[in-house]
Amino acid sequence: MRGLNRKARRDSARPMVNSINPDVVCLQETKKEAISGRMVISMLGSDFDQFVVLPADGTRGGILLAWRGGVCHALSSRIDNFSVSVHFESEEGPSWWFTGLYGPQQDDQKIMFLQELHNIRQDCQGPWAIGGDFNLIYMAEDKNNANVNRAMMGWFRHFLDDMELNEIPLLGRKFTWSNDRVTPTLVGLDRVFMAADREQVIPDCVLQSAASMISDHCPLILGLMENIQGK
Amino acid sequence: MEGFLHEVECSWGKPVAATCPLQLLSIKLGRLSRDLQSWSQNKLGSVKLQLGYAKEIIHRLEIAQDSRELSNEEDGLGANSRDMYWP
Repeated sequence: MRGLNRKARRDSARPMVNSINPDVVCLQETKKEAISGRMVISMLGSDFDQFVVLPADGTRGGILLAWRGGVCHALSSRIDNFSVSVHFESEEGPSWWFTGLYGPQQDDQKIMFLQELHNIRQDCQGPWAIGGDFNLIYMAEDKNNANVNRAMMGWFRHFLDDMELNEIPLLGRKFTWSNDRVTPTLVGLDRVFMAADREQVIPDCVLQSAASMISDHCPLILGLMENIQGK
Repeated sequence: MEGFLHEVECSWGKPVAATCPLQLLSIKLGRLSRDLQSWSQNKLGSVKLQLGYAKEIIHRLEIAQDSRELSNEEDGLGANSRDMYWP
């Protein structure tokens, strides 16, 4: 999002929400240390009366995960250093966890970040969907130049195998972030994965990109059979 | 807003078959209200449509840029589409 501090930026989320009509919205890089319920409602609409926030560290990072209380029922939630997780009840089938995350940019913190996700999975059993800006890639093709950190790529790949996470293939964009230069560096930083048993429960989900109107990242739209959507 | 004054002039200038000034005013105002309502609906509809097109163009160009360099014409088209959103 590149920050919600300016009103114009907060207002810019609304047309997106209105056209996609999601039940769950996850914004990363809010750059806000505190977010009030009033601000969420004025930004996303009055139905978004439930939310959890990971405060920004000064003006760095920050996550907002908001959902329509009338549509989704949350059983519990947790806030960690790089992510927020919500345990959603499901009308049919088992309840499931969604983790929205914003991965750190410093290499030494990336390992801690993967460890955090590992710990969350140990505590949060059952179907699990996990998505956001990982600030990590696991294939050289995820970047449009050859300047990649192969060791870190290996860590991420190992993590995905270990956690038995399956990627939801993205329709549309090949990369999700641009540095907005004339000859841009493009990287696929934003992804959605599901834990293996989740895929057995809900095989039909679609992940689409949208025009990146308000950010240097493109928005991802996750459609599930259950009609739960993210970011 | 573009075209607004023209719309008011057209509506106001249409002939009225009344002699009493108050009745004349009432008819003209009622007519103007209806005319402006349908004008704004048309106008707003087309603005929404154009913004939808602009967004679609931006997304398509972004997808293209993921696999190749954009031409100057495409860059210009992208810039114009963005200007529609952020004039």
